[in-house]
Amino acid sequence: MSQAVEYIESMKQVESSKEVGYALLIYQLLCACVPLVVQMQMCVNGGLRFVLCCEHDAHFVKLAVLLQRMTKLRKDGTELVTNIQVAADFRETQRRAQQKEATRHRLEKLEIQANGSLEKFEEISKGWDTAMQKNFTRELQEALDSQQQLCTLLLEDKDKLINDLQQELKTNYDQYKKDLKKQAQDVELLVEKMDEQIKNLSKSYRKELDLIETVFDQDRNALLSSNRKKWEQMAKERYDKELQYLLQRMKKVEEYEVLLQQLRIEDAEEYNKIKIKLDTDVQILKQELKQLKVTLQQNQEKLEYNFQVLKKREEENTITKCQQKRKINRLQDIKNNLKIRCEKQGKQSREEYKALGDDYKRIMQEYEDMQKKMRHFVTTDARTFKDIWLMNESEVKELVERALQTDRLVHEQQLAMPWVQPPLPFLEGDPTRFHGYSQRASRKKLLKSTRDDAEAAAYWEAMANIIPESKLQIWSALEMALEKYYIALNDRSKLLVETQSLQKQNMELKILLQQCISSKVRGRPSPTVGVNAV
Amino acid sequence: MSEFADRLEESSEAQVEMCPPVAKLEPAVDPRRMRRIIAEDTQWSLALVPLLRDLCLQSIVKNFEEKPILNELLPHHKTVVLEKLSPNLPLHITANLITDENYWKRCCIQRWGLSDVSTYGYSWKRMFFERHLQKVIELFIPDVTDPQSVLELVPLCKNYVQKLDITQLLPPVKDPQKLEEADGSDSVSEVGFDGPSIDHFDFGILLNKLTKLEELHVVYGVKGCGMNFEWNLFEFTHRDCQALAEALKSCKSLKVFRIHQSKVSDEKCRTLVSKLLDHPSLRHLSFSHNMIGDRGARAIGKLLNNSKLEKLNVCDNKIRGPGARAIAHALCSNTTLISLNLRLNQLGDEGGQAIAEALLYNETLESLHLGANEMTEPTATALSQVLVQNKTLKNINVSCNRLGVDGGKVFEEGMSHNRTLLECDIRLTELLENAISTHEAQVRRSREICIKVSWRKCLSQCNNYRETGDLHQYCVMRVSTSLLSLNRTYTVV
Repeated sequence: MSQAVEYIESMKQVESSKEVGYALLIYQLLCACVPLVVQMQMCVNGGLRFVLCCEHDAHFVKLAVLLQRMTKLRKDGTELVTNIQVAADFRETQRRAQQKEATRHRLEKLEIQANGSLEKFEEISKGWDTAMQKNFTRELQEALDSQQQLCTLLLEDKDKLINDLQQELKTNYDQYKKDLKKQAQDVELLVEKMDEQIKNLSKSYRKELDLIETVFDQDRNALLSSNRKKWEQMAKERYDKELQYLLQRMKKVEEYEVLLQQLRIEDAEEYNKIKIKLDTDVQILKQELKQLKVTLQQNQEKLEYNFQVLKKREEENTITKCQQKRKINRLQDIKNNLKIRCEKQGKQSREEYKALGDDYKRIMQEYEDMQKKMRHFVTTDARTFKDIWLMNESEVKELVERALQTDRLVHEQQLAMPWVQPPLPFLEGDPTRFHGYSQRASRKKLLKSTRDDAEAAAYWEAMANIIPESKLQIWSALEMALEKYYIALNDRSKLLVETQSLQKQNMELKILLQQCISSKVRGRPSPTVGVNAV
Repeated sequence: MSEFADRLEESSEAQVEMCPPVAKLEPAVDPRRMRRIIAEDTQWSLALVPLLRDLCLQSIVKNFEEKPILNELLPHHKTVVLEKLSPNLPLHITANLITDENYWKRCCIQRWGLSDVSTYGYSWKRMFFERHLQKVIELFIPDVTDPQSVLELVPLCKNYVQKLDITQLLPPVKDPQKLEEADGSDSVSEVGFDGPSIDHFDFGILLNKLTKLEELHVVYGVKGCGMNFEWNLFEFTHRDCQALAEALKSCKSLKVFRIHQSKVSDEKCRTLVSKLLDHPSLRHLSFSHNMIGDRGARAIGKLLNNSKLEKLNVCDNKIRGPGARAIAHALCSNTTLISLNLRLNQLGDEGGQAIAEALLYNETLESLHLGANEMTEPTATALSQVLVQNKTLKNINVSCNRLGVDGGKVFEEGMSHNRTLLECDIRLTELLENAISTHEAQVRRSREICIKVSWRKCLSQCNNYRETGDLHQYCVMRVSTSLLSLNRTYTVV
């Protein structure tokens, strides 16, 4: 009982922890062999609650008892089965002990026998010696007889021993057969018992199962009945409530009908009022409608006119539009052309630009060349200038000399005056003074040209004026006198020529007259001669 | 219109002539022919024509031997093919191709009738191959059967065979002259000149190739010889022993090895044990019903601490005190052995006391069977001491020993201090009746203690179950399973 208390305590713990299935509890109780039964109930919160009932629930008690019996049954069964094995083992040990004992006994016996026979054999072999010493046949015969007797005795002993052993072997063989039979029986018994136990166990398992089923069925039935009761109660409640609701509803329906009647009357009155009002409204609206129709007519006409106008405008518009479009097209074309041209122009100008650049380069090249050339020409010019200068100078000096010569001649031959040579400073001057000038001019790019020019002019002036004005007047007067002389001479020559021609004419006329005198002899004068004569 | 039809016919015929084989093979392609058939036979419908798919599958089934096509098929076609395949197909085709259990079930049922597949890990294929290989080995006759016939099977079955239960090994067939000789000198010449000729099947060629083999049971003997009994049908020769030992060493996956009723003597036991030392996976070893004496027991004692053995069974041997002493010495320092069976030996009090002494130090052994070992009162005293001190032993069997009344009393006293023992078998030990009854009470109490332990385990399990919500189902299940567990823990006194 103390065990039971222990279990109850542990179960209380379980109840508080709610951690165990009740089958386990049954198991525990059965193990403790306590006719105590625990019932499990599902709590409201889903947990488990255990109720201890002491022998109240007959089914659970039955179940417990059955399970107890089952374990006993199994225990007994196993014991029965193993009993056979243990018994066999026991018999085997006993047999072995007996065998051991028997073997020992046999060996002892054999040893004794062997010792005995050895003694006898020695006796016999001694007998042979004594027999050999016997000289008389009779004695020998006796000795031999006794020897034979001894031998037969020995042989008999041995035979007996063999017989005994064979007997033993036979009994052992029988024993073995018996053992075999016994073992076979044992095995049969074992099998039988096992079968029996299996049968019993299965039977009791079935019973147990049935019982468990009934228990659970009962449980289920109880649950069902309680649920049904609950269900009925709930149904009744529902019925009552529905009835109540119905009554309330009917009452309300009546109230609502009265209300509806009132509402209908009110609505009819209101309807009439509204109808009258609406009629008058209709009249007014009809008049308005007429007016509206008139204005509508007017408006329609106006609109028609407008429509016509707009139509025409539209036509115009379309035409202009077409035109515009065409124009646009044209302009577009132009634009395209211009674009193309512009592109071309651009290209061209680019090319030109390039060409001009090339030109510029070329010109620059040329310019450089020119400069080079110019420098070259400056030097050559200077050289030519110097040459020309020298040439001119020599020429002028020649001329001066000629003029002076002429002057001298004029003075000496024509005027018969003594000629005085005028001073000639420049003729003694350095004829190379202008070389430097020319070189300078080439180098310094004619910076002092004006001064040099002036110097040169003075030089040349002096050369030119080598014959002074007075002499020139003399010369002109001389010229005039000579002119007059010339003219007089010319006249004289002319007159000489005239006299010569007249002399000639006279000669001719003399011939002609002669001819004419000769021709009058013959006839007529020749015309040709007359003309030539003119 | 008719003209047009004629022309059409002509043209179609011309087409047919142009490619006759196609047209003949598939008449359904030509719609006109189909129409014609319908016109002739009013019963005709497309449903009568077997589907091309079915025809293909039939053809595959028919020609499976020449051309096994299976994995390329769709799953439902595969099942159709597997259903129709003959169980007589050669193994080299089916072995590694077909994994379908139903096919192998058919094969098994065809060969052996209905059998229990649960002992084969619920795999029919495994059952088929294990039994097939077993049969081949059991019917192997040395020097007559070609070893190649066994080796041929290896690549086919090595992935499926996990257990081999060889219930017989045939000796070689001898010529009559030798037979007479053997008759004349049965037990004298058993190891002598006749030795080589009676060697059995050599496991060396097989075991190292079976990479998944975990369990091996061997009997060197002939089953059901009846009146043809001869001693040398039950010989276990030295050469056999050597070969077997080498084979065991080469089989690294072996977990369970059992050799029984094979006349294993001390020498042979030593040979076997020497090769089993430091075996990487061996857990269970059984030498039951042999002739192992003290020297063999000493070897076994050495093996205990040089392996991972958890279960050792040497019942029905000839181990005496010294042998037991050797085993007990090994037990003192052993940390792996859980179960030890020494039933039907001749340990005597010397051995019993040695074992009991060892149990004072051992902390792993849970089950000990000392039944029928010629033990008496002194052993009972020693064992009572063990019961007081040892906290791991759950199961002890001392039946068929003459413990006597005094020994029983001592034993009972020891039991009263014990809280861990679940089962104690003391049948046929010549204890007194009342001693037995008190003993029962004691044992029951220890069982209750165990129940208390399992109570806590169950709590957590139930908690898991409650979360899934199927409590009602669980209750039913739990009640029945609890009976099973009860059965397991119950003690027979």
